[in-house]
Amino acid sequence: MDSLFLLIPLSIAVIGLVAVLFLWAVRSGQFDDLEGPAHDILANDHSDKNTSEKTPREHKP
Amino acid sequence: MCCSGCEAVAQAIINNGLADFYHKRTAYSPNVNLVPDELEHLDHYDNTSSENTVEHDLILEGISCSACIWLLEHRLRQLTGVVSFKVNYATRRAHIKSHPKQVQLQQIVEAVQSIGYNAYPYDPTKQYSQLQQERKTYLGRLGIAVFCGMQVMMITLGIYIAEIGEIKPFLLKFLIWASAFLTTPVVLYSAQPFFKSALRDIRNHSLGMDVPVALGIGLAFIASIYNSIRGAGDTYYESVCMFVIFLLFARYVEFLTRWYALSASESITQNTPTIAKKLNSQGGFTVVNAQSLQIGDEIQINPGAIIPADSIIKTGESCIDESILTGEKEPIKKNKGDKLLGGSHNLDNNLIAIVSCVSEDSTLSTISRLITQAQAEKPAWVTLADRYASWFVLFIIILTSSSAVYGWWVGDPNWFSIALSVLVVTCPCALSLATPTAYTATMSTLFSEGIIITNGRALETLGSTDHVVFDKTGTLTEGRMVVKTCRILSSAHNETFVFDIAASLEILSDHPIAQAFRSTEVSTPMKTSDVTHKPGLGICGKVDGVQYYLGSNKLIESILKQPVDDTEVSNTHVYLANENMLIAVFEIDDTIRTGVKSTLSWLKQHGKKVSLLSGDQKTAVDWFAKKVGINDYSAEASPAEKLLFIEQLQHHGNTVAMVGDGINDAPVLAKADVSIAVSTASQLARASSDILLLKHDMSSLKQVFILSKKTKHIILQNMSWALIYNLGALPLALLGHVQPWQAALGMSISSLIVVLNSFRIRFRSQSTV
Repeated sequence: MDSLFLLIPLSIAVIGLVAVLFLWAVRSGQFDDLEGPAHDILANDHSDKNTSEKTPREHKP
Repeated sequence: MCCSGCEAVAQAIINNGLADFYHKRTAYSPNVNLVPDELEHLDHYDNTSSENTVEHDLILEGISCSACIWLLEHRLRQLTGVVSFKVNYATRRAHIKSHPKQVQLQQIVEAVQSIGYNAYPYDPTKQYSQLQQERKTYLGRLGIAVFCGMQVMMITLGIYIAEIGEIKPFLLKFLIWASAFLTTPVVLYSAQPFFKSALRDIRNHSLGMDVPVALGIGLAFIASIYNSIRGAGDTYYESVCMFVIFLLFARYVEFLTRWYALSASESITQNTPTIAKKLNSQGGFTVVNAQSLQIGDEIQINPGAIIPADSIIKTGESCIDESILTGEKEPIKKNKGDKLLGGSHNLDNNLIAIVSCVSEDSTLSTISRLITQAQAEKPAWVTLADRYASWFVLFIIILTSSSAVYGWWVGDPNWFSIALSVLVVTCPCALSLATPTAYTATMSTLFSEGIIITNGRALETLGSTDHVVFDKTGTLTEGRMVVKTCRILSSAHNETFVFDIAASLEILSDHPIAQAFRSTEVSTPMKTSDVTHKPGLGICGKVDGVQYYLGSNKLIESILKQPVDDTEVSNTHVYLANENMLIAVFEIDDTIRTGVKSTLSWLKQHGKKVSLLSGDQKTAVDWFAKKVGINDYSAEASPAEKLLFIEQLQHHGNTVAMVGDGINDAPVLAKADVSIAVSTASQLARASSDILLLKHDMSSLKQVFILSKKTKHIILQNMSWALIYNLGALPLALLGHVQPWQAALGMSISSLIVVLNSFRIRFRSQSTV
């Protein structure tokens, strides 16, 4: 039973860590869009900021 | 391809190397308007002098699946000057960063529209970011409550199942203090909204549901701390945590539903005419805010633009569509000196006009004001419910404190524990969940069916609604007549010739059927003379010297003195005959909205009175009312008369639901007990309605009625259960047979029963609707 004296404070510390992480995740917008990322992975070409500044490919025949 | 628009879109998609879209899409997008109406007004969002990137937010319309987002993101990133473009799937909003020197917002919106979606710039500093913030806070609070609550529950479970004396006193004390430590953030952080709202209630001298909730949480926590310090008596940490978790979860779900409903209707309220082109002294014009216009200012109005203010035409002539304000669907030709109504639509030509009326007095704001007025007079359901609740809460508090005082007076050692049990047992938690959870379940069910409830109480009111009032054009009909088929019965005539005769005659008629012929082009102009109207029958006259009759079978029978076959009654038939014989039969599709007839007969079967209120001509309304089977109707009603009609119904004790679409319906919608706007409704009408039917099918209305009835049943069940539980447990608690933790458990279980019962709405509706 004495192990509880170590384990419970330990679990409280873990909970504290989890809580801080969770709050950070919520505040930094990790939960803002729960659907989009699941679909993102299906898009094969990952065009990001670098490719977006290329010249536009307007009206190729 | 369904239309040329789609073809253009498909071409644009392929030309831009985005043909992948067709492999990725999992749903088809609804049709969207390709005309870039508001485009020319977007300049004011741009600040071209800026060197740095600027950020904009867009509301996107027409997104139906992830392929749409993929397409949008890739198309937009192709534009020079766009740094990033990110679409939020859940909220259908895009955040864009761009170099204003290279690309302007107008081009961005054009790019979005070129692939078939609609985009409106909006200011996210308003409601949206507030709601997003609120959601994050809710989520944070809920998360913390769950993390800590579960730990407390785990520790307490050990204490529960252990035999008395099995846990050493020192360990027990340690466990209790660990629980106390874990409960503190739950009470101080997670339960904050309850305390805040209770405090607000008390400041406003009203007793809301949150008062006993806050009292329960606060007292139980303080007592637990007290008992922990004392080292004797019970602690209620786990009860506090469970209480907070349950309540927060219910509130969060309710908040989410409200938010989705709100964001769907928000895009509608965005674009009212706010920009005007004002002529300046140099002869050019400057773009100004419409609200800054003064009487006497000269403004230029482009074709397709919304007229920014009430004004008088100085030069030019054009057709004006005032349907949004007056309900009149026909465009009106206006010349120099004629009045223009702010908010109406300029159709053909450029106009220069002088502002005659500004802000407060203008037509648009008059109508808006009517709405606000009517809204202020809305039946005060909310206050009524709150008043009952506050009496109940007062009762609980008196009961709790008197039981505490009594227990203390007679020297009962458990007086605090008993009082706390009474407070927790009687806590109207299940009672307060009874209605909102049922609403939430119904609202989310309806939402997935394309029906948006903007006001939860509307569902309750709808259950007791006994009179449904419809607007005609645009609500029950789609507002256009079409000749569906034409059967030629005489070998001497061909189709073009027959159409020309009919069109030449009907051009002089105001009957709704006449519209159907007017839309067809006359290939050879014909001379008409001696045209006479036969009300309710048809029209006759000479076309190129020959006498023709065009009308119902009754008219033709009376002319030809022989029966005319009219066995097919599903559609309206119009017959064309000359003096001797029948020439042709036209089948007119009156484009009644789908599902109207079944919905109307369903409503009547269920004992609801149905009325038709229309601003249209009497003949048209007569004819239409008969067609759909409405006996009670009134025609040529102005918005004020419509309002009066509703008021009279309400005065006679009827609960009135109004279904409408135009801005002219908006005041009436706001006045009715329940207001329902249809899919094509104007922005103002949608903004002032309780329920939005996004689907084109009128049977959505039936669904709302069915579900509102179900909801009412469920609420009744929930209420009776909560009352039975509360009243049944009360004597037990008063007699001291209920431990506080048992009370909390009972409270939680009874709340859970209520929540699960409410969710039955969702499951049931999926099998029946």
